[in-house]
Amino acid sequence: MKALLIFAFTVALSFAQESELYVLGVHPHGIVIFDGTRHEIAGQIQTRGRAPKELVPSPDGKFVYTTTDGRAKLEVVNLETRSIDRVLEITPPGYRLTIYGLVLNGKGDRLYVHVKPVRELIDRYVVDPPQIWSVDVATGKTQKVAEVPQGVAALALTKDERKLIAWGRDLYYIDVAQNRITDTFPLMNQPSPTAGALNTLALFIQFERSGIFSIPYYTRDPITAKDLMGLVNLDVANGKVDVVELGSPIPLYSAVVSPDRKHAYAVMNQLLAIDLEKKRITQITDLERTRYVANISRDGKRLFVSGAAPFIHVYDTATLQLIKTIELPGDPSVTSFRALPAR
Amino acid sequence: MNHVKPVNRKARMVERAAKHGAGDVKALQSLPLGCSLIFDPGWETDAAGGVSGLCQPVEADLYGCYDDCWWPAQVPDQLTNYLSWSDSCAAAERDWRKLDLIYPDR
Amino acid sequence: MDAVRFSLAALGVILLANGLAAEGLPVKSELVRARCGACHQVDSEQRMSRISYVRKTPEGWEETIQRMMRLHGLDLTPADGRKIEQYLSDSHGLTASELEKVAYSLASEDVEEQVPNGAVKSACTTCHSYAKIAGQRRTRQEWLNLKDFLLAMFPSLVYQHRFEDWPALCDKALPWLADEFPLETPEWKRESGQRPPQEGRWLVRGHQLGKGDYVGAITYRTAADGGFETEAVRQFADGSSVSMNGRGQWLGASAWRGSGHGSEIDRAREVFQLSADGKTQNGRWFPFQHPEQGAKEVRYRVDGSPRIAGIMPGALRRGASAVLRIYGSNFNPSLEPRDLNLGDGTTIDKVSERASDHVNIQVHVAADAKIGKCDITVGVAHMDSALTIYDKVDYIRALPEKALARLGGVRAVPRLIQFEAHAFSNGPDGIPGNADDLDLGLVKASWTLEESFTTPNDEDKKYVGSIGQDGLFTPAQEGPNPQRQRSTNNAGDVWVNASYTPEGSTAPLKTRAYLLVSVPAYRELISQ
Repeated sequence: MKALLIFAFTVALSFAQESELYVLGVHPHGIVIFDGTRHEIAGQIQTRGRAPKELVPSPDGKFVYTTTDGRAKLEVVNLETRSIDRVLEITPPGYRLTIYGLVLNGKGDRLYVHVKPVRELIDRYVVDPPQIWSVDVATGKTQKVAEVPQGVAALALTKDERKLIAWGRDLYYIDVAQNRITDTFPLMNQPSPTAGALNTLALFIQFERSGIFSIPYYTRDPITAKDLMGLVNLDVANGKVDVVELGSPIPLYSAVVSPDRKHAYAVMNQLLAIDLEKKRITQITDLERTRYVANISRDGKRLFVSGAAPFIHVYDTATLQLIKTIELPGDPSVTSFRALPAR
Repeated sequence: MNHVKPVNRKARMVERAAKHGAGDVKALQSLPLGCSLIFDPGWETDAAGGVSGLCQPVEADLYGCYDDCWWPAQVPDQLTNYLSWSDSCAAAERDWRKLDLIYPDR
Repeated sequence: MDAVRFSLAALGVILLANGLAAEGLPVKSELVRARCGACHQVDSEQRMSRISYVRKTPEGWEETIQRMMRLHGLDLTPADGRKIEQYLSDSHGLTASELEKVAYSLASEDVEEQVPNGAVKSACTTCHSYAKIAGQRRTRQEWLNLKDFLLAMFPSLVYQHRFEDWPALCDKALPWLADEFPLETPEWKRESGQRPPQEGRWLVRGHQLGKGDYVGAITYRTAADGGFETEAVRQFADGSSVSMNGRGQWLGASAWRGSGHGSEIDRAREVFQLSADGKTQNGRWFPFQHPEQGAKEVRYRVDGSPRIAGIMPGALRRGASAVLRIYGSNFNPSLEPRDLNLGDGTTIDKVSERASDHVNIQVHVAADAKIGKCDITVGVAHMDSALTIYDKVDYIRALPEKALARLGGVRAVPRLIQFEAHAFSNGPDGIPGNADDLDLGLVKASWTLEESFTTPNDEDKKYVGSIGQDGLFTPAQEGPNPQRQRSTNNAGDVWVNASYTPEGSTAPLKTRAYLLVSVPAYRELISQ
């Protein structure tokens, strides 16, 4: 018993001393804690539902909120006890919810979720408009914030917490006090006929190192009819958007911006290093497998590439050389690979 | 997979549906009718009509598609229809032989 | 009071004009009412919610029943499942001429569809076939219900369709479909009284992939279970003959779904649709797990009058002498050469064999016979464009010219491709590649695979699979291949080369087809 206590204490201590931890969901029902300093798996937590998707850490780094079971379940993961604290029951009776978009406020007591509610009547489905709810983390009580157009994939919250940003076919800015969309940044619905629609898919969420939520876009330029790609960079703190055009398309799923905001790294079958100031691709290397997401170390020197295929590959950001391969117990579920806040 | 007793209600329903296999009304599919979208890699071909732009190997991408119902005509989906499909196989690249494909005839 | 009475009457007229009051098919099956009634309310007219307002192909109903079992707790024995499918196909099915329009999909033919509406093309057929839609008839409300159904069933479809405003497009597509495919159609009014054929004999003419054209007959006999037992014999141009025994049933008046086994096939499936006049069936039969193989076939009902099913061989060279067999029914047993006609250029020298179902004849073709297709006559029976006269083989084509195979063999059933080399004549105008070119049928070619350089240095040819000298491409196994970059699968694209040297020639004719070998479908739909 004593030995066990000492062991538990040691584990807890070593856990507390870790300063650079990451979480990602894996099949069939787990969350892997990755040590970004030692480049090894620091722990695993079994979730109640299958295939954890989005992950949002609490500001104190003690909890992670995640969606499981086909984005229908909202679980509270306790990183200290390495277990599920509870499931936030937010689905009203007679409904089915699918959750795309999850963000926590600065205090960590209020979650915003983008839900797609479906009323399951006895002989038919009735789809309610997609909407954003705020969830009281302590009680699980929900309140509708605003309805949004179909197609929202991710949520962000400005630093002053007055605006939610919903990333869908366009970027929608929702005033939390006014309960409505007050502004839209056009992506697919360009107002000018000489601007090509920016096709983005914001399912890959890891912006905490830089505060820049960066998603690759593809477009066909209406003047030249040429296909182009680039990055839509959203500064989460103030909601400002920077569209960085990069040239001919290379298939990419996602991008991550370095902590100094000078570089971005994008992945699919290749890893691209992008100089954001010069707006150019500086290096390209073939990846070991197709990958969905990458996160970046706090010092910006290491890239942790994962999602799709049961590995984390550690790359050197300066050389794009593979440093280490870490096997995962299961396939990473799309979409989050999040850095935990420093403790 | 046939030897594993499904643990939840939905899985049992899937099993029943699989056993149902009614009569001679069957399986009328040979080739897909094209699903490749503008900049998404399609299930069968990439935007250029080849396979080099597809996810590699397909097993790397299989659960991404399964989880989020990305190619509903070619891959089972976890969002609605086949919640437990991947239970027997944590990593598709390593354990793909454990996965049951869903054919109308089986 | 009079005014009120008038407006009520007017309202009634409007309701009837809109078909609202009369719409909906009563469900007379006690089994359907008992098993589906817990969720689908029955009204005073015996109409059940949802069910009474939709008509579908048998495959469409099968898919619905399986979804009810998978998601909504319906628990059916296989026998009850079959009965419900039978009832819904009989009473809420498609008519013969409605089925005919989607027959290609039901019988797994790979065709390029023409989608007549832009919104439907973009919102619907990016994921599934137009035939899946055109195989349904619904009330306006039931068409409109599909939007919520699809959003509920596939919540992520708006992300996959993010290049368009899917809900808005759906709002355009569904009303168009409601106009195009209403529950009550002229065909329904005209043909819904049609009964399925009784037992009897049918002539067949078909083409088996890799094997060639055939003629023959199939007999249907009533079986104890209410279905039919079948016995088919098919004769190929080389004189060989293949038999198949089977069983099956008519679902509704015009959908034949059967299975069979024979001298060359363990287990076959048959999918045929009956024409509105009840005289012909069109469809395919194929190995149970390989709808991509098998044969396309037409069946002609045998009645009292003489009929020609086909002639073999179907192509003759100018100046040639040959023995031909014409297959059919109710032929006069004392036919003489003067009773037959194969067109001006072909002389019938002798009738060497006569029977009510075939006639063998010796013929010669004039050296200056007109090139093209000729009608043939046997007694009073006639067949258009049945015999082809040509001067020489000008080129060959490998078919299909563009094909998609799927890896498999471990867990996935591989999707094979049977290539065929066909000889062609340039036709009367002597110019290759236009509509008057004449397909002279299957020839025995030699086959090889060749690297396609879509992606440099990927060495696809080494990995994708192999082709036999019979033209059958067998894809390699599925699964990651550690020998390839990123452990990618054995997928790839290659050229399929065919080479054939016509009789009397020394220079081989060559051609190629494009083959894409892709990954398995991990789920196959009942109606795609």
